[in-house]
This record gives sequence, C-alpha cells and structure tokens, in this order.
Amino acid sequence: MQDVGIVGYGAYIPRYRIKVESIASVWGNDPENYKRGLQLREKSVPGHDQDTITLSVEAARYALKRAGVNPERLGCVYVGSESHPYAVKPTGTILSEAIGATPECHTADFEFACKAGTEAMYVCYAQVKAGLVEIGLGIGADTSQGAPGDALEYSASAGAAAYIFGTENILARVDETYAYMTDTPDFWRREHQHYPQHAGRFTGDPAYFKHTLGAAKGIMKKTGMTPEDFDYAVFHQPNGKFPMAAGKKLGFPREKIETGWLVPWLGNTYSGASPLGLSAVLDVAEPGNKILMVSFGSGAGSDAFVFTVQDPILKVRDLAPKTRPQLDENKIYLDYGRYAKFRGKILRNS
Amino acid sequence: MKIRSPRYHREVAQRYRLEAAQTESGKIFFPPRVAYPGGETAKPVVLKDTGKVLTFTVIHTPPAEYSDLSPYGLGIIETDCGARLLAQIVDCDVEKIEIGMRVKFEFRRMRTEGDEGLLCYGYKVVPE
Repeated sequence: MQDVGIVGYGAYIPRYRIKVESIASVWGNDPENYKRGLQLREKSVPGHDQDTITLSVEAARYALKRAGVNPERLGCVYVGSESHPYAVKPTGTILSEAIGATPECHTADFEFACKAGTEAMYVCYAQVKAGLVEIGLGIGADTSQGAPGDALEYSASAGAAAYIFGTENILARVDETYAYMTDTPDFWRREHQHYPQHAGRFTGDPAYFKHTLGAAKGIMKKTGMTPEDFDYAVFHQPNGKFPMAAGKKLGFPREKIETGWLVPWLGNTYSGASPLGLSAVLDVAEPGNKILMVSFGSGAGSDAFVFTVQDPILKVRDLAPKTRPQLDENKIYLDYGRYAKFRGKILRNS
Repeated sequence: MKIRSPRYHREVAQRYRLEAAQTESGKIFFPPRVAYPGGETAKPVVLKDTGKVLTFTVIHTPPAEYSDLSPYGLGIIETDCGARLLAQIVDCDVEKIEIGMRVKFEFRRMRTEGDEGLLCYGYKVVPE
C-alpha cells in the first residue's frame, strides 16, 4: 500500500490577545483561579474583519507554500469548524475560491464541536488513501464564542491549521488512524443561540477524558505502540490542565506534550486546537520522530492519528510562518471593551 | 448599501486572488481590462502578496459601514511586482503607519451586510 501523509501544513493565529486579568476584572473573578487552576494566561482574539473563512484561507495559503503544489490539483477541500460564518453557504466554497482550487474540487464543511478539524483531516486522508483524489486539503479553524462571564470566556479563542495530504514528498506519514465516539451531552449549542451551553464538571471525566484516553489507548493497541515509542503527543486542549492530565494518565512525560501545548498563551481554538498543536510540533520535529495526535469534540468523540516525520520536512518548514512565533510575537493586546466590540458582544441599534 | 450578488461574484478573482494582467511591455493592470493602451495584448498574472506603503491617510470619519474600524489606515500599496492599489492597512496602530512600511496582503472580511446580507471578502494589508 502506498504511503499517504501530510505534504504541506500551515498555521494561522490572529495577532490580537486578551489577558485573563482583563476578563477577570470585569466579572469580579480572581485571575489566579484561571491561571493556576486551568493554566490559562491569555487567548487569541480574531480581528473585527476575521472569521473562520479568513483564518482558513491564510492557513491554507501557508500550507500550499510548504507543499509547493498547484492548488488546482486539490481534489477535495474540507473545513471543520463550529463557527462557520454562514448558516447556509459553505465556508469551503469561499476558501476554495480564494486559494484557487475551484472548480474541480469536492468541498464540504464539517461540524463536530472541537473535533471538526481532525474530522476534515481524517476524511481528506481517507480520500487520498482510497485513490479518489491525488491531493486534498483538511482544515480545522474556529473563532469560538464563550458567553460573557462564563468560564468558557477565558479560553474561547481563534486560530486555524491546514493540512494537505498526498503521496509524494511526504512530510509526516500517517501510520494509523482511529476514532472513538459515543453520545455524551457535555456541551452543545442550539440553533439560533449565540453561545454554547456546557455541563460543568461533566465535561471532564465522562467526556474529555473518556474519549481522549479511549482513542489514545485504542490507537496504541492497534499499532502495538506504547508512550515510550512516541517523541511527541498532542491532545485537544480546552484548557492547560486537561491535556497534561490526559498525558499523565496515559504515561506520557510532560516534555513530550509541551511542544504542542499552546493553550496557556493561545486559548482553546476549538476545531483548530489539536491541529495547531500538531503544526507547532511539525515546526521542530526531526525525521523519524513519532507523533501521537488525539482530538476531542464534545457530543462526544475523539480522532487519533499516528505520524512519522519524514526527511522532506527539513526543506519546507521555513517556507511559511511557524506556529510558535505567531503565538509569541507581534501581539496586540485588547482591553475588555475593545474585545467585546470585536466579538460583537455589545447590544446596539442596527 | 447592499452589494448585488452578480457584482460581488464578478470581482472575486481580483478581491480573493489578486488576479491581474501584464502587457508585453511589462505594465501591470489590476483589474485586467478588455483592451490595453496602444493595442497591446496582456497575459494573466497574480500580484505578489507583499509590498510597501507608497502613501497613506488615516480615516477618522469613515462611511457608516466602516464606522467600527475608525480610525483606520488607507494606503496606496506598491506590490513587489510593481502594481499599485488601494488597500486598508489593519492590525497595527495608525500612529505607526509610515511611507515605505513593508506590508503583506491578507484575506479579510471587507463588509458585513447587516445580520441578513452577504459577507463580503477581499484583501487588506498588515505589517509584514
């Protein structure tokens, strides 16, 4: 069977940030609770002219630069998000048009809370592996919303990561995939509601940990691998605490998780979260390294991937902006007032 | 003011992908024209997505639909392939915009037609 893997990747993080202190001061909360308890320091905020489509386009353009392929060759373009700007009109159409992939291209928008991004990658990989398309693009992107004053407001952030899958010049080979899913009502948003609802502590053990650990254990059993066999592990990161706790339960030392652990400075980019963690790892990983990635989406389920990094990555990783510098440099801090305006949280006359 | 779907659709190649045309003598036209001066013919090119601020102004009293952005920079950008075009300068403090500043094009939402209309996308520039 021909190898299939990532042939191009790109990450995009908006420049705007808000600190935990700025949010806590408005709601009379102690910022230390969030900094220590959930290990959140600040989060990214999309500009007033940015949304899931614009973030996806930038991430996709970076991925195309690294892949060095003509976008017209993309046989499929899939975008996973829970913040598609239109209720009816696909994100993928605008994205595909902007990167020049139209018209011979299969496009679909995916939704599965925070798992939609890896779903897009999963299906894209499967399309390439089945031989139905030569190369394809899978993206996870979100400009996630947390209700004002809710704990989610400290983490809900924005970002996108794009992955092109193919069979030539592979940067990271897909060795195995595995999916684990049940009906678990931990987090939801009904039609026409602005903000999601969550079930508090029920989002932990019965939801995040059950599915994340279930998928991680499942793929390790399927591949006969143990935590010692991996150089890096990336887990979905709704806050700083959960992915570290999941890693510990599975037996991964902290240093194998830290490279892809962006959430204390980035917040939870929902569908972009584990894909952005993976892009931060690909920025530094060496050929031969093994990477475990496990996403999680409420509702609930996890997708797991095992990747082996390949030699061509050394030649292409500098062709587009890397993840960590986008996170650490050129930041523009917002106060709560401007943040509320950017995120449309202020009631106004139309 | 609402933009009509046919017009929006007609401008997609330029607003989304910076598609231009270059004549035999090397002159770049953005957007491409039906005919070119001196009867020259032109071939399709895509503008480079980096450039510099040739000149700019800061808008403090914008049209109603851009009122949320005030104040914002609006500049003539010279792309690295030599084309000149008007673009909003965003993601930076307007006090820091200066002639010669390096910029790159990014895909942004240009307009939002209330709660019901189209979302209009296109290019803006940000500091490189």
